[in-house]
Amino acid sequence: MSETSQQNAVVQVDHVSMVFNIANEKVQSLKEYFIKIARRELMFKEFTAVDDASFTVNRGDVFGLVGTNGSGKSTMLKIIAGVLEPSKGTCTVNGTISPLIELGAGFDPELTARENIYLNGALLGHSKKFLDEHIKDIIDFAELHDFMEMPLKNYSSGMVARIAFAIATVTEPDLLIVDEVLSVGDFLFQQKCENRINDMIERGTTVLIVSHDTSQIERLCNRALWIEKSKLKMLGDAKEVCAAYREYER
Amino acid sequence: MSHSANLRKNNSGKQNHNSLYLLFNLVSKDFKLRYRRSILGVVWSMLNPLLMMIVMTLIFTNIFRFQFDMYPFAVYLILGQTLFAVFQDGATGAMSSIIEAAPLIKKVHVQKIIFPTEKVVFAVVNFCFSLIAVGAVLAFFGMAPSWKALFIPFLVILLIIFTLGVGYLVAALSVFFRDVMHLWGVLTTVWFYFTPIFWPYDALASNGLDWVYLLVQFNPMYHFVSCFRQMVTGIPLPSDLGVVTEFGLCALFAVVTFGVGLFVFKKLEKKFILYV
Repeated sequence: MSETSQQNAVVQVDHVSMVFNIANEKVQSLKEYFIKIARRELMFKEFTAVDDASFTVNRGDVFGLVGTNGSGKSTMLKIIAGVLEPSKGTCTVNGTISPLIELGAGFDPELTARENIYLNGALLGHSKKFLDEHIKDIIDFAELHDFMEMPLKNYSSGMVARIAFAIATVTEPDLLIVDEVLSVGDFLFQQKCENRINDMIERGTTVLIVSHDTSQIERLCNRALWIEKSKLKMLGDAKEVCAAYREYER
Repeated sequence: MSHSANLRKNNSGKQNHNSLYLLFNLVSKDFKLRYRRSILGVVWSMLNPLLMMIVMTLIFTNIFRFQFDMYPFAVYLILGQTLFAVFQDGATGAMSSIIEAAPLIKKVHVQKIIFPTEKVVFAVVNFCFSLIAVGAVLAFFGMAPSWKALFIPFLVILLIIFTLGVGYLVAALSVFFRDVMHLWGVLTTVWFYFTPIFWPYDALASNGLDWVYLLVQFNPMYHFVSCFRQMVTGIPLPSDLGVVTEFGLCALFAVVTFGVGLFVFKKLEKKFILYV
């Protein structure tokens, strides 16, 4: 690979495979474990979630991931987000990541929205100073001024999603990972989210989107990858990939 | 692996700083949740050890009639209790911390070690509040802390290191074997009885149970509790190795346990996500 393309790559996935061991029976007690070891019965069935995937996401790309359920999209995203470590191969990310994988993972239902913003912000690696400076932006974007001191358990799922999206996009990361989150909230908010993502794209943020909604991928992305049954099936222009995927679905 | 190596290179300095802020946030969350909707709130952190002390003093001086005449039994009791609580609460909290943080660990790239660490810090914060109760009991019996009490912070630091070590170990193991969680309840009870919290030291010597005496010496909490009592009251205890020797032993136990716990945790943490 040439020097320039190396520098342009935000995500470089190099022969990544992810193999899970599914124990034939889930062994979760010590006694069972030792009995099985003694009997040499500890057999693992292997399940390959991602099989030898290689691709590059360049700076400024809006990259879509499509594929039927259980074909390894989310596993791929988790590897890129650094949550999972691949069994084989390497995945290199140059720059900061803002993951929008299942919004509000770190939220505590008992805390108020404001408290959750600080907690979640800290989890995403922000400092107190940064959060103090941006709390107003976050609240403004979520449009939930009147509900800031209310425990999150009393929020509707749409309201939670608003806050989560607002926190996750408060920075301008080098890479934004979006996993099926745009399907929450009312249509106005969905539009607002798309606008914000578009703004970020214009300013050079690289975006990785997973969605079942191929029209959304077509609308937002320039490149796309189709993963089917753990294998890369097609990589290329978003419209072409989506067209082929729709063919397949039928 | 080269994955997040790049990530960390970019903002390693910032990352450390923000980990501290995250730790602070998690502790304050635990604190808020514990006392939310309770009228007395944080006062419970002081009231709890105090009430326990009163109950146990009544039982052991009136029903079991323990002979302890160096200083009020209540003082003896609350000192042992509060210090042991740091270890017990800290390690127990740490044990389930990874499993509790599962939704998070599965979705966001965070330093996993922060979760058990937070539980131990939380236990120490509670200890600081219970020290007010200790002070009140000392005042009630007209006792003043000795000058050795100035060294208590160092002892507490050693106790934190020790508790972190145990906490990391049980946190990592309980991810793979949930049995650890069930066993731990029994183990801490045994540990509690094997530590001179409510029984006086001469119970060991006068019974002539030499093997018990020897066994107890291998209990790190024995030395922590002994050290703490002597630092607060300044009064040497019967089966005394000398407060300096005790302190040295505490340091030894702390460093070794921390090393083992950290090693096991770091070795296993990459697989956590597959099991939580």
